[in-house]
Amino acid sequence: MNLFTLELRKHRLLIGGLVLLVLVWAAWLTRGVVNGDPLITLGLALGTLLAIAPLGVLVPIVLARALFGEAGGPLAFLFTSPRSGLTHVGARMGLGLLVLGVYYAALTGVVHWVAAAAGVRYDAWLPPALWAYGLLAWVAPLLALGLVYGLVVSAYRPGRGGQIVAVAASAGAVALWQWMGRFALDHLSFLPRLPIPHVVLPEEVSRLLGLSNVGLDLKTALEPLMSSVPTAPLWVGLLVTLALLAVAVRLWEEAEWA
Amino acid sequence: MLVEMSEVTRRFGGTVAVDGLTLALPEGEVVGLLGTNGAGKSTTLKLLAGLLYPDAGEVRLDGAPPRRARGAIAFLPERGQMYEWLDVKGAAGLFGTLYPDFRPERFHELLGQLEVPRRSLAQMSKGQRARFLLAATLARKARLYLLDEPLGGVDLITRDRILAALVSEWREDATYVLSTHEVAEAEGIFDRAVFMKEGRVVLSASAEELRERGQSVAQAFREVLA
Repeated sequence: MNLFTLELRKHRLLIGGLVLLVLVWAAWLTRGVVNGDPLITLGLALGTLLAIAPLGVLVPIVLARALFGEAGGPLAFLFTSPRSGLTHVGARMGLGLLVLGVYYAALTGVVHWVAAAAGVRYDAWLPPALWAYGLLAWVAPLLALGLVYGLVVSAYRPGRGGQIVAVAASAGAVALWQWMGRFALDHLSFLPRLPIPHVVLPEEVSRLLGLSNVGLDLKTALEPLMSSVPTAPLWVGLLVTLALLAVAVRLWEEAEWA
Repeated sequence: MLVEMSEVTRRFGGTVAVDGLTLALPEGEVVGLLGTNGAGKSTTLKLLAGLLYPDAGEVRLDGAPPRRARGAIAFLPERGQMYEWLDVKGAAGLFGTLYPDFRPERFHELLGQLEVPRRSLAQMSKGQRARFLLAATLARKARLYLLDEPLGGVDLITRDRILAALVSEWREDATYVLSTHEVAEAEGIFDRAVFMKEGRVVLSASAEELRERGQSVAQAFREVLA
């Protein structure tokens, strides 16, 4: 049993829960498509995705916390192992990224299928780009942040004072996140940008909106507002992830087990 | 000397758990770390294992800080816990991953010697779990073995099995440090007894020196620590 399979074995219930959630959601949407209401089903799929958007924040944090949430005993055996902190943290981060990567790929895949059934056409690169963007700019930093918090809580078991500091730090992290997002958009415009994708809605939607009898292309609608999509948040997310992982590795190397 | 602690102090808030402790342990000795509750034995073992850092003083294993010499230290914590779902096969795999010096075949031999059933930890009794973890710890080929209360909370027959396993595992290139309250049962295997009180060493004597004074380890324990 290596460290990766150890983490997999430890978190099988959580991972199984995520699988069940996606399966139930996909089955519910499949029923809508099979019953001949793909457009309404697409609306429901996007609506439910928006409704569970906070879950997109919560799931990486819960998973990361679980990955570092240890009972007191096993940590002693893990800390005394001569394997490097990078190996331990890497195994946890690797499993977290794999689980969440598959989870978000499943969400993207299901929406892609429902959208195709509803007659929405778009560039082939859009679903993988959305998945990669979400994973690198959003999920990976959250997962790394959760790993750092989880390690601090597990290894140092902060008292009430420490918990107050942790809550304040969490609030500060949100503000820092916003600041970094604004900084990325304002000052990192030199980084590569993605073109606005073609997303052509079915004619029924255009007719419903009273626009025309041909499919509406969102690219045409969006181009007056923005010419391309910045990738700066993606690079910032990657940098933040690496910095947080470096902190987690250092904490692992220095952690005490009282 | 394999292990050297010089003027080591460790505090927890206002409590001084270890107070200016100086200790040198050579290779090949089985050392009993003895003292009443709260004497600082567990803290001393964690300092030696590199799981705690001293507030003052230095701990060295072969000249290096313990955290850097982790590969040479086998530590069995007092509240030894492992994942409940772990079975013998899984434990062998996990310990093999964590410790390059882990010997699976020796682990299986020790499990047999200690009469540990081949089932998951969740299905074992407290004594069986203690022996399971002791077997996993002793199955490593380490230079320094730190065993915190390996005889605590187990019956007399189990204690005998554990002590027999320890004796069979002795190597002259390794040092064994045991903390225990079961002084009378364990004293037969000690080469040296280190008595601690209020975080300090009050007596460090070889079993031979105690014998020359006409004392057993248990008698010295009562005399020094009462």
